[in-house]
Amino acid sequence: MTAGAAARGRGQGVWPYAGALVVALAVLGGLVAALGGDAAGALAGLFRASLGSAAGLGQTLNKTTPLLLGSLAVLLGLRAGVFNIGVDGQIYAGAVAATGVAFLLAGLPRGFAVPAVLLAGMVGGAVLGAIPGLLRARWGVSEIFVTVMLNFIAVFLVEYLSTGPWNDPTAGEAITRAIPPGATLPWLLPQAGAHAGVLLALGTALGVWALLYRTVFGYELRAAGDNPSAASLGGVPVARTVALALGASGALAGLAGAVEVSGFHYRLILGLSPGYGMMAILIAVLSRRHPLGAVAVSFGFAALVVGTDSLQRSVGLPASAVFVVQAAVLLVLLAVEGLRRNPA
Amino acid sequence: MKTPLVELRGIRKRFGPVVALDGADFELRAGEIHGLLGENGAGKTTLMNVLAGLYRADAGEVYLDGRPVQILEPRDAVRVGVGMVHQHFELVGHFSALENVVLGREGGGWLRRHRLRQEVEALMERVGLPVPLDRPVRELPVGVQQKVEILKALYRGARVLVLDEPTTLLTPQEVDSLFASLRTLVAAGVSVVFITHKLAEVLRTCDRITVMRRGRRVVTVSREEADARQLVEWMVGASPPPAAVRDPAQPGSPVLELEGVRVVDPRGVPVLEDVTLAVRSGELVGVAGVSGNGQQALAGVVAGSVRPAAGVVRVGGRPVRRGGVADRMREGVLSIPEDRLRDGVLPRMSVAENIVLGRHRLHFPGVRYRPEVVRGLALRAIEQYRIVCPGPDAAAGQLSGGNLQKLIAARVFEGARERGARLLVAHNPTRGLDVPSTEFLHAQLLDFCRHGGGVLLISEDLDELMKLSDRITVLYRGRVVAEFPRVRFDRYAIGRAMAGGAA
Repeated sequence: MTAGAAARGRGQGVWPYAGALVVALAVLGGLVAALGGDAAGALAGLFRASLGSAAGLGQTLNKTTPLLLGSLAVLLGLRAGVFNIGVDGQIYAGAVAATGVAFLLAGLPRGFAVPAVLLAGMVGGAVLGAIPGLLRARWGVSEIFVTVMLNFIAVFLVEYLSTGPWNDPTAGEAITRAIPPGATLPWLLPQAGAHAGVLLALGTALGVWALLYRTVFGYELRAAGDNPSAASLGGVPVARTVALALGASGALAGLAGAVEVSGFHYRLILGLSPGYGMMAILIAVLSRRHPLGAVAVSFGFAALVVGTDSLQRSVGLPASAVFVVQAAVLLVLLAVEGLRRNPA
Repeated sequence: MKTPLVELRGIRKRFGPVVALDGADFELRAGEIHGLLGENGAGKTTLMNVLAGLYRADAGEVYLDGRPVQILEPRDAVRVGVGMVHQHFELVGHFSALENVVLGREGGGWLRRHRLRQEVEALMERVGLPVPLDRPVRELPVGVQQKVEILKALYRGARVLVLDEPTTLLTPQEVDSLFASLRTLVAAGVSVVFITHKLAEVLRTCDRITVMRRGRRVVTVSREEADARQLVEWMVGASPPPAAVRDPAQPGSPVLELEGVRVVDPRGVPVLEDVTLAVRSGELVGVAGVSGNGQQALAGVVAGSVRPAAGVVRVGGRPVRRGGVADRMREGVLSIPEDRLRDGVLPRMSVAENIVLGRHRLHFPGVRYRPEVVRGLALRAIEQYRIVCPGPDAAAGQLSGGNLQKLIAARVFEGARERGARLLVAHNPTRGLDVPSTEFLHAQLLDFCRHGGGVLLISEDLDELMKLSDRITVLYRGRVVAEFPRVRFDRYAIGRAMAGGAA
């Protein structure tokens, strides 16, 4: 690609995305109609369920939180030149640590318990992220293998805990006992059912921005990710920087897990992350690896997910058809992004 | 007058904000060797890339034998008989010369080796370019690899052969051999465009010469009408700056000493063997050698990115124990890497962020990074080093090769000043730079010596080494095979040592 094409790509602004949204909605309507639903009603219901009502907005904000934190985790890795596809595992590790600390701190005041729970989540995620970081720094092991393997370990750990030691015997499914009320996140919009996690996520996005663009570590991280060889010749300790970046990336994902436990589910459940890690990768790429871009894209994704989930209720689509619709919309968005980057 | 074989008229090409070709014209007559001369960034390679179908011109026409032709992609160029040999070869290293020559032209599903071999042998015979056909090309010397590239173009039916800076990587002997081959090619009916910025080569080989500057043709002259001084003026646009003059060095204490240094590459193959050399304060030591004879390992050992398997490295008289580039920088060793794309540039980051690389800890000893400070440094460097770019915030990957090299020079020389560095390792620092930028960089290197620093200049450009060095050390297959003090500089003797012969 030439410099000219790059310049044109930048100049196009938001219009391709607006166009993509129109195409995506048309595809969505077409699919709903093809599956035997009422297309117009579906689109109206989709809007109402995601943005057009207080409860819908609340759900969208709640959904934005793990997506944003997850995508920040992915983009921090991408900026350092590593591909963290273990965000799901790190979300679970954070959730496990957060739940455990919440049980331990039963009875303590909220002002102490909640920060401790969130911090525990970050540590849990950081540990899981640091493992591939260290293996890569020390022996050059691909982080892709290690993070994928750790995903399995984390999921099975959650399965063990939620059916074993922490199981809620009254529930009859793979969920743990509820965490004590003092360990739950406060509300942001109580009527809408939105917890304060979204503020935390927004603050984290600003923090990641400042880390990347206003600290020496962030500069070195970006340099290591852009061209490790040149960075190394410029005196940047590349291996250490990349390992730290993976640890930090894991901490952000762990925070997402802690927020899901402390703000939404109030317990550890199997299926806590319905593929947030994979969506986070898409969001990180679509936001062009920029933390502030990730805020907007995460919100849009959350609205999309919440809205299409509602199609089950509003037009009676089966759950699997909803996934088909979501995937189709995503494909349209990705195709547009691909075309924008490499005009045919 | 006869119709020219190739005619390019009013070719325009922009890359983003940069106008590479601004209505360039060019004519090639049948049966001539035509020198295309110009500084880096003058548009020589871009213009020929348009002819070869690698770039699509924004405007302008291409005529072959007087008829307009459309060249939109490399395939079109091959069809009309244009072949180009690039500065960096495009050969498959583990394929034999034969396989490389016929690559993509094998025909059908089966490799009919015997028939293909006969064709290629006939071609070699006709154009007088014999090469060993069966050895993997990566085992062949660069000069022979180049001939394989030429054969590849001719095998595809090239009547017009474009050579982009063909002498850069060659020893003087290989250059002689190349020039002899070009004459044979012309006798066999091929017409040649020879892109270069080296005056002497143009005056020696070309029938006619076109000088380009800033994306346009300045003039086309025959060799008889051309004189060196005038050509330089056409290239540069004004009187050239005076050449750097080498003051006799008064060397002080050693800033760098290598003793019996051995380096083994990751496959276990030794790439440096028993290398002993010293650079003293105020001294510029040149390292000559054909690319791939251990220069990279030598630069790496000194810069701290490569760990020696044996031997001692001393900086400022103290042995360096271990540690990487950052430690070596603190000890006062800075380097200009050979491969600026691979080792020098952060392509997606800004020009400013690139200029501060390696100096960032100096300017920001704490946690905080201040983009406005970096921007200020960049604005000054862009001005002082005449880096042509849209601005300090532009992505460095957009810069042309020459400007990228100026950026790296700015980074290193400014860093050296700020740190009070003692030793500079410069590996092919002027490759691809235009005349004024080369002069500027040479002056900077000598200035660094004059202020008590030592320079290890590893270069493939023998003219550059002979102009600047106090001593020249020759590397061949990882060993120091000869050393020449300034009074005994002799390009053919050095060339023989580079080729592995006795000095």
